[in-house]
Amino acid sequence: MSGVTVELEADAVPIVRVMGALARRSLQDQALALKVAKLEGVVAVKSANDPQAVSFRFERGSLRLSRGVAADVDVTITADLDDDDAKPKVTGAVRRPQLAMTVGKLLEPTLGSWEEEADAFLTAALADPACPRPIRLVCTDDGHGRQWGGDGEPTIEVHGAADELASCMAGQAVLGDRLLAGHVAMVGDLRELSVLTRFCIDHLFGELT
Amino acid sequence: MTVDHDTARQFLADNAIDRVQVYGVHHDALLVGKVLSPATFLRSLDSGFGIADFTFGIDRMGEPAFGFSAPWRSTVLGDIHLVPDLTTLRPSPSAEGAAFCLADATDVEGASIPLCGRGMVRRLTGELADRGFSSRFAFEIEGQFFEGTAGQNRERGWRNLRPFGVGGHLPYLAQDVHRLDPIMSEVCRRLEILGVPWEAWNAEAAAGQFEVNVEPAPPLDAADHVLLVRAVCKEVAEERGLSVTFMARVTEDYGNGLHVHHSLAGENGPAFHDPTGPDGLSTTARHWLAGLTATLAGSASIMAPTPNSVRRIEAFKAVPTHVTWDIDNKSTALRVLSSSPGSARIEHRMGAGDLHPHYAAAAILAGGLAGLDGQLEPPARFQKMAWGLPEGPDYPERLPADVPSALDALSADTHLRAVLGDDFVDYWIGLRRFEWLTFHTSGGDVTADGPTPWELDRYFETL
Repeated sequence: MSGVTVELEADAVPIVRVMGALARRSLQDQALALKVAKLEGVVAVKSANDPQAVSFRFERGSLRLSRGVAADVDVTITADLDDDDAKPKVTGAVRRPQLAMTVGKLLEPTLGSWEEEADAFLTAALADPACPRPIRLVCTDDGHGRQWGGDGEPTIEVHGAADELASCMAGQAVLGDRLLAGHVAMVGDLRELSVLTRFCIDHLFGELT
Repeated sequence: MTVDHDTARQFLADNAIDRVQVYGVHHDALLVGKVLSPATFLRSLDSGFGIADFTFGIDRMGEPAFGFSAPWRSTVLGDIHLVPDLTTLRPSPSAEGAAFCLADATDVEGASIPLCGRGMVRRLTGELADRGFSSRFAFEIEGQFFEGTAGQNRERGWRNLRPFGVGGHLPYLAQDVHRLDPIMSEVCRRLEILGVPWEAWNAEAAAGQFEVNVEPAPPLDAADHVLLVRAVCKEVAEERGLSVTFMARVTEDYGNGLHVHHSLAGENGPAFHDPTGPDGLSTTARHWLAGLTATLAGSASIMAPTPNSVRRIEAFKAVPTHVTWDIDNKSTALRVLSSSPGSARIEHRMGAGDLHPHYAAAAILAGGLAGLDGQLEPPARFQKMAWGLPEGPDYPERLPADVPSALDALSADTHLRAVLGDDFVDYWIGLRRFEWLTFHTSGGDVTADGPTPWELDRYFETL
């Protein structure tokens, strides 16, 4: 247990849900959780491309996330949410460097390998009978493939680079979006892809039970 | 009214029709279909013609909506059929030589697909008839005219929209009527050609805003009338260098609603009035009202289907915020009128201007049927102002005021699930969830006071 409670606003908007899921995952790192437990202050993360924004309110052991930029914000991070490689713009970090750095770490949890991430995600998703199966993933970096949810002809087969597969399986990208954008390839039915995408979105929101 | 193939053939010949515009109704309440030659139209009467089933799997901007599926859709990409409903065949009032016809959406075997609103209303009207009742619905249709065509306003990024009306904000204002009259007179002329029995129109509370009332009609016809009014207003506005929208919240201050009046009749006439009953209501009316009350929260996503329509749900904006009913109280969600047999009716006041009229009619019929079948009893009347109420167990339940809460309420509504069907409910929830996600992740701003450019770009022109 991290010792830090993470609470989301009522009727949380997507960016709040996504950031909340990232924070919960990052807080599994005990060293980071200890740092967060001592923090006080407010950090806002704003999208550089659209009106999405979320405020992180740290109050010594609790972290509350809510939509928008809070009036009493200490640090504001403006980031391109669609481009992981783009450098974010940070204001207020000079006065509160620890706060800014800690949020940066919260938003970048360490990912496992694509197979580790797939083990965790698909085990949870396949517990729901609505999840299509079997599902096969093929890593295009080395051609290695693995199947979940039984033997036989896969209902869906997703091909992608290791980092793409890891990202989709870790709940940091939505499979349907990555497919439409040409970052992964798929063999299967549209119907099954659509349903699997719902599980990916639930995972992104940290709501996969 | 044409009802068989021979009469249809004769209608086409008598009116020198050289093409027929045949439209089904998309889940975002948009007319979608094809223009058929007369011969193709006549061949399509039995089993319809194909359109891509993906039409019902994409949003109003043509983006594929992910996260759900349906057995009536191909596992990949296939067809559904649109089957013309000959009772709606009319000469087009806007295109010489053309006829206009609405259609039902079916699977390739001819079964109505769960998402076909016309099919749903037809089925539920039948279920009501099985219980000995018919119903009549009338929608109060609000819209707002603006200067410049939609294309011109889009080119300007929807900035500085200029309402086509005088500056005052008084409803029923004669000066606004004077300005709107040439447009609305042409709208009404065309509606008559389409068989839409318009009753009245008036200037509404915002500049350029109007309300059209159509005579009560069977639910399917009444819902069709809403789409025809929207379509004709769009055509007339475009022809005159104007634009019109039925968006629920067009400006920071004003929005468009779509209240639904309805009543039941049995073998012996109107079924809601009983001078000896409590509040002048019959037992049937009380059960019906109870069913509507029980399903108000569950129907919220149908009555306010978009993030834009949710913006209307604020106290003192003439939009109901709590599960309430009363006699002739316009602040409650259900306003009941019961002073005489002929006027006894229920006004369902939750509807936003952008709702899908067939789904709304279906949700009302479903709620009422659940009340009849369960012999439910309504909660007590709420005989106070129903806006601005405090929170707490002593006060009526608050209606969902955001998309996720509305979808949760629908998902949990066993009454609506039982009558509307899981196939419809789950697919609708998937579609609305996708719209909500798209709003938040592609430019909509929930914290803005009024509609964002994203909303205007997405909804203004087609709603």
